[in-house]
Amino acid sequence: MAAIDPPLPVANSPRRIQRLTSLRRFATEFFRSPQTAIGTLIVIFFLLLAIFGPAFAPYKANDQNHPVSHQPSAEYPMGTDYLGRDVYSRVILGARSILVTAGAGTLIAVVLGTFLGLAVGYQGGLVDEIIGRFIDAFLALPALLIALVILGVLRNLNPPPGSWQAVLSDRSVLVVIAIVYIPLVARVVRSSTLDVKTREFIWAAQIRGETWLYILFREILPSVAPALVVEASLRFSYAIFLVASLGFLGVGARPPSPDWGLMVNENRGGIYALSPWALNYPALAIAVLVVGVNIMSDGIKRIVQRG
Amino acid sequence: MVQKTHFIAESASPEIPRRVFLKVLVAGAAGFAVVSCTPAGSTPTQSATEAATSEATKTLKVAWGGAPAGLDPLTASADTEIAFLNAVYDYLVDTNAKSEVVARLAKSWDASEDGKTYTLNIVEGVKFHDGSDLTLDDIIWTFDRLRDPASKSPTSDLYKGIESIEKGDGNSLVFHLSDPNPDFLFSLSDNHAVILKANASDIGDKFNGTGPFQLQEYTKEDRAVFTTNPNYFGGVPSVSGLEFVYFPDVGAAVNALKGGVVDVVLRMDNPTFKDLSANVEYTSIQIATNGHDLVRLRADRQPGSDPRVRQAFKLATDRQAIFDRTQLGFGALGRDTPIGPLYAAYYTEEFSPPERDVEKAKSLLAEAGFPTGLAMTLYVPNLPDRVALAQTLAAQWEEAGIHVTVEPQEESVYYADNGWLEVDLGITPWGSRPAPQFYLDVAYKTGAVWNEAHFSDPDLDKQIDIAGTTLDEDKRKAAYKEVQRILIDHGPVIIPYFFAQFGVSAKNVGGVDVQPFAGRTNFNRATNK
Repeated sequence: MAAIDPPLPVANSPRRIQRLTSLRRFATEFFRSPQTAIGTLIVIFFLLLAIFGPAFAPYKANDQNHPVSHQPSAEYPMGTDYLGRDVYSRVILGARSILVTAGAGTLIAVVLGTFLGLAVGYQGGLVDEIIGRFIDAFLALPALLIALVILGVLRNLNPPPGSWQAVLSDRSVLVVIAIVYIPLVARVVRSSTLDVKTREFIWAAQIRGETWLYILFREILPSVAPALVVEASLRFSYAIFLVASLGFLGVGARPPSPDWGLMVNENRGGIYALSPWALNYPALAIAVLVVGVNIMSDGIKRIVQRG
Repeated sequence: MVQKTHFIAESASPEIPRRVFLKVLVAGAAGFAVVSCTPAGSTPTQSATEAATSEATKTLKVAWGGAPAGLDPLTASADTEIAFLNAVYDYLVDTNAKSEVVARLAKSWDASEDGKTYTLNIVEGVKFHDGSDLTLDDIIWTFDRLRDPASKSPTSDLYKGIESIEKGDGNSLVFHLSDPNPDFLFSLSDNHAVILKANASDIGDKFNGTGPFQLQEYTKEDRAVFTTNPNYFGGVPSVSGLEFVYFPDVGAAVNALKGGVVDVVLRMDNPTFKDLSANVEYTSIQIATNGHDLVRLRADRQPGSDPRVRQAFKLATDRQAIFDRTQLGFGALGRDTPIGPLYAAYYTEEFSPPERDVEKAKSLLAEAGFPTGLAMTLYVPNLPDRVALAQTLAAQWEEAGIHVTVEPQEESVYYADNGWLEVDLGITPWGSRPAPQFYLDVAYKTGAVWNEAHFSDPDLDKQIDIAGTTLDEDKRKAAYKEVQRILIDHGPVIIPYFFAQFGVSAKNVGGVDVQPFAGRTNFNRATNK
């Protein structure tokens, strides 16, 4: 190695140190509030359930070899439903589908929305005008309505098994969440980008001759990241609610999947009188999870705003 | 250097303020926790007697989950449509809950020895709502309209065996048939065959009938209000009026009954009926029907074209478990044929579908070239009882290596563009008919219009033809027995149960004689005190 080589980036570069300390400060701030801690614990609990649930669930989700409409007992802690399925197992196993669907949908929306927001915000001009109007028009429509329309299209394709349409149709709810939330994420990122792009360090990067992508992701993104984290956590909590709502409306997960919203839908009406527990526990699970995620994202937002 | 920036404070979402949202959720969660502890069956209901004292209930209010789409007798088919027609018009003959032919406009009838000539004596002095007399010409005109091949109505097929209709002695009408038809009176009682005024115009919009009720007001998708026909030949109805109230679904109709807004609800799912029938404030009626949910595998292409695959489906199915779980004790167990116990004369238990044998099903699938099992989509109309059936089937078949994805579709989607005839694996609800021949003719014969399984078996076709044309009752029984043997042995269908028909009314209502086809329930003998 020659002496004229520029110094190699090392582990404790100033940038990295700053990032680490701010992370640590973030964590301390975060758990200072008991409310936030509870919310986070709830979310962690459900995450563990989603990961290790199959090991805990006493029965398979669709195992019907049990007494029907059995009230909660030692053997069936949450009772059984009208088809003789263990509600406790179904609630545990349902955690994965709702968290994966909502989580993956949100992740896609955040990734694509961020890219769109950064690009549009940085580019500005006519591109910003056109795409910005599209996003505004999209946001004027209720999320659930858009979701129903997209699902209506995706679900009635009747694609042959194994085709890409079938893969899309099977993950229709995930696709819907991504589509519905991309504009929301993009708008937040765009407005932050508009602010950041006028700063000197962006000019500096431009003068240095950095590429467009470098400026977007290495210069602007770190500055909009806090806003993005808040937005992502918010989107996640609404995504959970949307997944549950779509399941309840009968256009989300298909039976016999142990989707919580679907379970609530299936067990209302005349069945409710036979086995109220089969509706109450999944409903409770939805409520607790949504509340948990909301409290947690409240905490994130508070800290980020405090800066 | 990373610059510090200020970030937008407010949430970017257009939804309700999150504080409020959280509060509501927390309250909801607490509420659910409390409700979970309460025992089943404690449904709050309003006293029905409260409603009885109000004046409005002199009129009988019947709630339906659904509304008529079209009211031309040529094409009407849903319960709500037929119920409307049955109120304002008359049929020549009715069928009762025991599937017997009973008199209506025809007071008596007679069939010739060869089964090719039917003579019906029509009640005299019947008047239309506009005051004109019912004549034999009106009836002939009605049937000419129904059997017109250009009508695009299913009745043009049904009545294609009619060669001519002529006036007989007195006030009688003679139908001449091209082939013997032992079921002809059932055909005359067909849902479409209400008697119209000859040369009536605006059929489906204007309703000049002879029926027990006269239309006063009809608001689409909301309600139909009828007054009683003071000149009804069968006697003036006991109630002072009739009102059909149309709700988007059965749940809403039942809530209206619980709220005392309506007096009667017909047609509902099993759990709803079970819940209501446990409530002493209502009169609940259940009757056996031959209506059934047909689970069928297309037999004209892979994988269903292999008899071993069809057998594997049968072996993987536990009909008793399905019956117990989805029918809640109502209806009757099925045996993979559409000829149910209601047709006592033709029904046989001599042959039985195979006992459930998961291992045998697996080995049959392996022999047929599916050693790792099958993956298919099971299409089902999105109705509670049917989705329950689909889920139970999915759970049972899974154990035998048949992995199905359940695809509930709105009824309109399921039947749209004849999609239900195309799919490989589906569940189709079939309504009750007074005689078994109808099912065999339209859904089991080779090439029949609604042969959704695309099944073709020359022996079966032969037996169906014999049963449909012979007047020899013994021969007929033998043919139906053979039909059942063939379908149980290697047919493409699984019929796990025959469902019951339900009606629930407030205690002060009487005389509602629920029919297997709910739309044919007559309300002219109903009372509402």
